Amino acid sequence: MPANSHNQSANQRFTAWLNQGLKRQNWSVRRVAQMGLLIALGVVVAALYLVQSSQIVTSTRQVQLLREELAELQQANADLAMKISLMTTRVQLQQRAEALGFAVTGNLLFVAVPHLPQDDSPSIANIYSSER
Amino acid sequence: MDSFRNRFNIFLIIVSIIIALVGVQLIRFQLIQHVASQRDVPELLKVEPVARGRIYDRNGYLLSGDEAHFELAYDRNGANYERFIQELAPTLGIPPADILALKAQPAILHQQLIKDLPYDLGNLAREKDIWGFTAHPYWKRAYPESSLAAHVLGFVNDDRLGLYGIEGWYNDVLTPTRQADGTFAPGADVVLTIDRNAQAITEEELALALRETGAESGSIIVMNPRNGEILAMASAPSYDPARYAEMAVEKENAFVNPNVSDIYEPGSIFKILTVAAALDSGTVTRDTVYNDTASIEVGGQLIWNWDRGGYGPLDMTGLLAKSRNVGASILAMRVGQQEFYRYLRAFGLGRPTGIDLQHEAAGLLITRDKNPDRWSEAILASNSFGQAIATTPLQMVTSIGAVANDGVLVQPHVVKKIMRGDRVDEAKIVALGHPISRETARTLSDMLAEAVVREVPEALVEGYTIAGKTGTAQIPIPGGYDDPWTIASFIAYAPAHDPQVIVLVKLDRPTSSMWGSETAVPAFQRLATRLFPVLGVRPDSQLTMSNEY
Repeated sequence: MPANSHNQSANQRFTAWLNQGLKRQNWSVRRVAQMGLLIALGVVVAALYLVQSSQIVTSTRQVQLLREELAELQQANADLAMKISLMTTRVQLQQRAEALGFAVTGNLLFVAVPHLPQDDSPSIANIYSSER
Repeated sequence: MDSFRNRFNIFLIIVSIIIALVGVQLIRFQLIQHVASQRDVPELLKVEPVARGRIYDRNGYLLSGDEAHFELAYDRNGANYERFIQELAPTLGIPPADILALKAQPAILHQQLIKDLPYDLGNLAREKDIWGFTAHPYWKRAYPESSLAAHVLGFVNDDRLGLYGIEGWYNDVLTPTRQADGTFAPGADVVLTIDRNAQAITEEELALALRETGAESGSIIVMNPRNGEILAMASAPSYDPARYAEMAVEKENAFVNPNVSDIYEPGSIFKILTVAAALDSGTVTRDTVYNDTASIEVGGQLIWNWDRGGYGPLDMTGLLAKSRNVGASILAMRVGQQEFYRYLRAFGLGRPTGIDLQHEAAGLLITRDKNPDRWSEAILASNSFGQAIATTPLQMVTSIGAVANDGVLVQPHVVKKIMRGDRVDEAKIVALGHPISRETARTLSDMLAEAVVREVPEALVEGYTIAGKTGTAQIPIPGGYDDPWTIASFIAYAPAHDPQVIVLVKLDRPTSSMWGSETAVPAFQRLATRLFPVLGVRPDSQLTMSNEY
């Protein structure tokens, strides 16, 4: 009880202190201007904050949507890349070739031609010799 | 009035302080702690929004890449079951009764309905956007060529961690990285030196060799000795990296690449290095003749030729062609242990080659300097023909590759380039040393080519000169050797005078025959016949014309 009464009296004392001040004021033009300026300043700060916040939220949402779209495109691209890979696997190509009438080669016959110009077509052997 | 002004000013000051405190807190919560809280998200809750890097073969064919899969979940309360039954359930193959039964399930938010939906179905579910049903995408590793080059590739586990092979060694490169702004940079793509077609042919021929010889396992390495590029690397039995979890239960160490991780006594193919040391040190020339007896005593131990016979006077090419243990022992003794082991170390033995694959073994080289209590002259003699020494198959390919490459030892590698956006990092050829001179290397290549023509013509491929050596090694077990089992092998490079490919065929415990000449050599011949044209290895035209062999 003593603590509660102490709190109540403190609140009452603060209210009385403020009311007394407000009652006693004579609200001069200068004072009104000061108050108005303060309130206007608060409103401006609040408005700026709200505008900025809303812009940030809108931009964030836009970025989020674009990222989701990017992720979906990446998933679709990965799926297409995998489908292409599956259609060009060695087994698939072999089956396709056989369906088109090609057959696996038997013994290769190499014919040696004297003074044949160097073969510059891309081959691993050529790549290696150029790397050396 | 003064009292009022004072009180009003105090009021203003208090309000200003409150506004300032609110402002400070706003900045703190929105800017500083906001970023910090993002960093504190537990690792398991993070989802990679971009895919892991892809792995291609040297010609740009995809070997390993991510594909989007979906998990379909539902929230029991408020879910639009009727629309789901009408629009999705038939496509997904779910009976309507099963969907209606979901209503009786406990009210748990985000309950999994289907796991591992393929992209097409998962994306359809996402586009339908049915209330209460959510399709969550996630990345899953896929291997279009199935088990091709599985031991080289490794795999990615459920926690998106690359393990073994390229996936393990280059995990940091392939994994998307979180950037300062919280977004992810995609993982880099990796292009291998492996040729998809060469790899497939190699695996097919290895499987055939295992069937024909009854060997329980085997390995083949195909490398370009000029630049250390691994063109094919096969081991059998292998596994499907997409089903690694099943294999982990079935077989211990199933994922370890025997070509880089398993050590063995290489046997007679090692004589190439012994003769190289003897030639290069000037101890002998190719024409030096020694007396080949059936056996020789070294350090109190009898060293026997494999056939327990002797040829009498024999030159160095004869030593290689007939694969004489006695002759190799005599050479090692003449070179001297210090010089002999200096050559072996120069050939890269006793240390990893540095290949970019996980779990490479260093091998075992017992020398007098480092193991005085274990070393003896008998060990030196045994080393000369590939016993009492342990190497990986890759070490043998790399060291004998130096003979093919004019005496320059080149570091083997399996990655040709790494591509991150527009940036491309090409692998560089790394020379590890120059164990023997160019002259020695060329002389030895001549001798090996002649040895093949003389003793194992079954290895020859029409149009090509082939320098090679067979090997039949006993398998060490505690207390001795695991007779009668052997490791049969054949190592060869072609064309002998302008080598573009070196191949090691190794068959473990063949049952049809214990000899490399009767098991590994036919396997090599079939492989080389198919492989050389695929790799663009041109025949030696002079020999084709003159048909010398």
